[in-house]
Amino acid sequence: MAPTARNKLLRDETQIKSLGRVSDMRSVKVGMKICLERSRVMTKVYKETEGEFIALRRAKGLAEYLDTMTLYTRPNELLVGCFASDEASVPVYLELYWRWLSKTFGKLPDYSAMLDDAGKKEIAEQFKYWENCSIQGRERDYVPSWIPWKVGERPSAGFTWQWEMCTPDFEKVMKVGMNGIIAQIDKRIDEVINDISIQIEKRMDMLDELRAMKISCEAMARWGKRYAQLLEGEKKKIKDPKRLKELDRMIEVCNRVPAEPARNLYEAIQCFIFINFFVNYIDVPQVGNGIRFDKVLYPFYENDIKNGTITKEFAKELVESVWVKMQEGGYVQPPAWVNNGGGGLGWQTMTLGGVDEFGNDITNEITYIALEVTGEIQTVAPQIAVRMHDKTPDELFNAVFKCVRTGCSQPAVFNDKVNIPRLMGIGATVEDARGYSINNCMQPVIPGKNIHYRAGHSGALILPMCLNLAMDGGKLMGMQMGIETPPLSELKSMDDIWNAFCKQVDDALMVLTQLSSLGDALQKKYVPRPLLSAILEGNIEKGCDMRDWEYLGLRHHLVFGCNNTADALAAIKMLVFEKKKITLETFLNAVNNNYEGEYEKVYQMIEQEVPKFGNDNDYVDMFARDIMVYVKSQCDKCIDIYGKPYLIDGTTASGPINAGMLCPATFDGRRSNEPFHDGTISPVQGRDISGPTATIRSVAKVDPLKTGNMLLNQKFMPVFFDPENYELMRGYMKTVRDLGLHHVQFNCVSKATLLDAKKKPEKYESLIVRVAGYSAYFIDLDNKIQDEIITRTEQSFSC
Amino acid sequence: MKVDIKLKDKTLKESGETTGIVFNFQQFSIQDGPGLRTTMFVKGCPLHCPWCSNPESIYPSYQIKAVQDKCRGCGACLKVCKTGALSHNENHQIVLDYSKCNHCLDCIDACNYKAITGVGIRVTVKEAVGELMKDKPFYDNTRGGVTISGGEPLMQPEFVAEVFGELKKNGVHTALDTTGYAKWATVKNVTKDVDLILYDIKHLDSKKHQEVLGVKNEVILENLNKLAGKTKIWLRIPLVPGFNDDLDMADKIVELGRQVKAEKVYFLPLHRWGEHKYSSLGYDGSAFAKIRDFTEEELEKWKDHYKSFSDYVIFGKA
Repeated sequence: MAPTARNKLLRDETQIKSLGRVSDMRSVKVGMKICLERSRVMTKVYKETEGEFIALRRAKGLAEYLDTMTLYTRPNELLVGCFASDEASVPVYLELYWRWLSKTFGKLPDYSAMLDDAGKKEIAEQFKYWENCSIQGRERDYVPSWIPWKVGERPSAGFTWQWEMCTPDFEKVMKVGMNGIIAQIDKRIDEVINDISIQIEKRMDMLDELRAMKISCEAMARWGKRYAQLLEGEKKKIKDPKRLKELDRMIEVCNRVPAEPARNLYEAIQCFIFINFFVNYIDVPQVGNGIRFDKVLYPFYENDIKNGTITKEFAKELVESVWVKMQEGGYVQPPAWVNNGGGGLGWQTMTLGGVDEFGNDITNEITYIALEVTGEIQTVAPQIAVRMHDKTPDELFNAVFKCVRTGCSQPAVFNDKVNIPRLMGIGATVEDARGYSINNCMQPVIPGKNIHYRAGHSGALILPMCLNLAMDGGKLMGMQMGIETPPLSELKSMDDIWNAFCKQVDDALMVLTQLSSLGDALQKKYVPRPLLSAILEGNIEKGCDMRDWEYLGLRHHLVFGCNNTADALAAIKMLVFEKKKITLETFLNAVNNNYEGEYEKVYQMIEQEVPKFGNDNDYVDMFARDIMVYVKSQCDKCIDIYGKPYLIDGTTASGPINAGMLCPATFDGRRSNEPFHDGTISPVQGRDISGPTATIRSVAKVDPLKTGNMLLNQKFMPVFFDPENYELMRGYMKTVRDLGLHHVQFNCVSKATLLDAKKKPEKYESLIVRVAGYSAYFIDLDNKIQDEIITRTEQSFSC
Repeated sequence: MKVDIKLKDKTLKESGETTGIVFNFQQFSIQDGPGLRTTMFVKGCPLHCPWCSNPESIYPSYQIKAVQDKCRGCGACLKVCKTGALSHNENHQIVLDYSKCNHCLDCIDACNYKAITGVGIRVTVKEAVGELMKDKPFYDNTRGGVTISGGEPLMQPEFVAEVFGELKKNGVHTALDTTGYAKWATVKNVTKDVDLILYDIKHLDSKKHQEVLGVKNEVILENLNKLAGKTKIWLRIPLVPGFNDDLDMADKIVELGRQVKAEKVYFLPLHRWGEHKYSSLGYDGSAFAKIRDFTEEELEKWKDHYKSFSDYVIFGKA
């Protein structure tokens, strides 16, 4: 079945205007504009509220923005919601950053084009206010003088950008509405103000926090009604009676939610959009979503069907509308992030399937509708995550394959057998762990719980660079960029090399931890999130901001290039110490000369003689395991500002490509500027040549519970997802589950198609591919990413 | 690597262990029996089908393969080749003439770019079983197992029978893909631990069979009849234009299938996925080149013809 004409049109419209997607080497979408309304209001309110409690200042600023921002609606859309004044614009968040943005104007044409002259003048004025209080920049006042922190001073670290994500309690908001939450806050205020057993300063802070929450929730309740007014205005322009009827329905919905409880599927879905847009695009630029879409919405659908107030067709159209709406998100990203997200989309992941608190499968009709819609409408967002467990029905597997077979590279399949124990391992109860959802591309979180996943604003642990440093006493291309370890002449054994490598990892992690924690502390102190706090469990009771505590520690270090490093260690071990074909000096020279000229020979030796990760060969696979076990053990010793250990994040997105572009050659035969492998544990591109099951076996050796390994991408030819192979592929997936992999993503297109798409992009506009955890349109991807996808091993099976 | 192939061959031959020559362990095979399977391809075949998609399986021992796309024309191999089997074409790419090759394998080590590689290596039963057990969890979840194919597995009967025996002990489903061209005693012995036989029938007329494939078909048909009712059988008929694309004969084969209690009959139309292998092996592929492709109409005709047979006759996939 095809999507409805309305949604097809809207999809194409939002595709054309879709924000922040990368083309070529750009980090912002051509045609994308900056809307100054948000920063104008925030600057004004922050000035007016100098000296007040920080959460109140933020709440007042954001409330005024919700009350005054220009709203718009697209013709014929069934769901409303926006976060800037027009379709092509995004807001900027000057309380978070200003320096890189100010530097881009005048230097980088793409950025300059986002504002006209008047706009540039205005934002320059705004910058003046934020120079001293924007949190990116403040780290300069606190970073230890002996820590190299600027981008480029260390191959691993650099103070840049923050990823954070958190999934609100959508079920609660739908059940009680903002007004229900406000009533709860009022009650708590009344309790706290009268409870003299609470220390007075603490009591004052709690009250201010609660009042900030109330201001935010009230503004959110009014926001829906503003859309109702907007739609009333729309009605005057419309003559078509069918559309007028639709508008009446939409007005009814917006007058109801998010203020009041949702009574049906339509209201529940609109409520979700409002909350999601605020949390992800208005409050802060937060990626992720993390709703358990089928679990949250099915009760409404079931009720509507029972009452005869909805048809399956209309429910499906509403789901399509959500998918289209998810495409609208976007951010301005720093120039340093060229390619890094592969586009500024919001990683709006919808989680489907899985179990309830008792361990029973929750698959329902919405699950199937959502998968059908995904395969049919082929939007670039949302990403779909399907949870797989022992009781996953065969029918759901089949629906997954059908979806993958459309070429949309969705969904990713996550293993409950790993994710539930992993969350329990860091302290979740079994019921909570069973309730997990996937946020961002692959991060398990628990919806509604006070968990804020954070990663990335301090760079990443680039393991192959740690090895390069270890091989040359801490030097990279002759420059001291790591901690001093023994010079090459003193490295006499694999043990010596391993020890030096570990020291470089320790040092990189120390720097990363210092910078990350500094970033966390600044966020906690200066960027409270009163609305989100009110819709996460425990904050109203505690009278505190969600940043003041954590239910579970989800602070992460991004780790890249484990398998490049494993391949490199295998190469050193075999060529230098076992076969003695080359000396360490020769090897280092070959790397420093990018394997060119006389060193081509070394490259060929690595290519032809050394086993590579992903082929079920212990010689190299054990290096991968040892590396990740070591990194995990060291991360356990890195403690975040809440006193919890750091975790390992495999949410690399297209980071390995970006990092690869900046990094010199490595000991695995990777030449300079080539990407590192994607995900945490995918084999290096083109090196897994023993078929998909061998790759699965290799990956399974690096136990995700002990190491934090995550993502494996596998590319299959479409034929494997034909109905006649469903049973087979179900067995394949069940084995992946039994072997304890974290999750698997399938890319199901032919190499010929991709090559052709590269040549004739105009013919393949809706061709979607997956890069490490999220999907984008192939033609919009950077050439290097396109090449990477094409290189990814074609696993052909017939003889 | 030359040394490995030659040295291993010599050492294992002298060891007295049961060994076989294998040219591929293909995991994730889905067309050689039920479920996910590992197919072990062994070397040596008594038949010479011109359309063979595994021409590297025919010669019973190790040999070399030279892939032009990987050749960079450095000429290192030409220096070590003493028989003139290797030469360069006008684009300085490698050309192999199998008829002149003496299997010294010196060129494998000489090649800097992996353009020349060995095909086939001698392995022990233990090595083979070790490799074949790796995907056991996948077999278990897909009701798959191991298929031994070739070449003709019956040409290495002791090795193949022992491998099947070991797999059976380990609870693995076993399948034999065979032409059926061997002495009955051999067939009987090799199939005692086999759950499924994929039995190829190429032509019912013995004269035509001999003319094109080099051997008569009587032995093949006799063995098939003797196997009837003893082991589960799937008949597989490679359909080749101009050779056996004859609906009447096909119907007779289907009838034969019923007589020998075959569970399924598969008609597999000609494909050319293996045609490029001929030149890299230094073989003359002209006989293959002369075979035309099926037209879409013909394929439709075949599909139509067998529609009514539902699950018993399957066209196009095995």
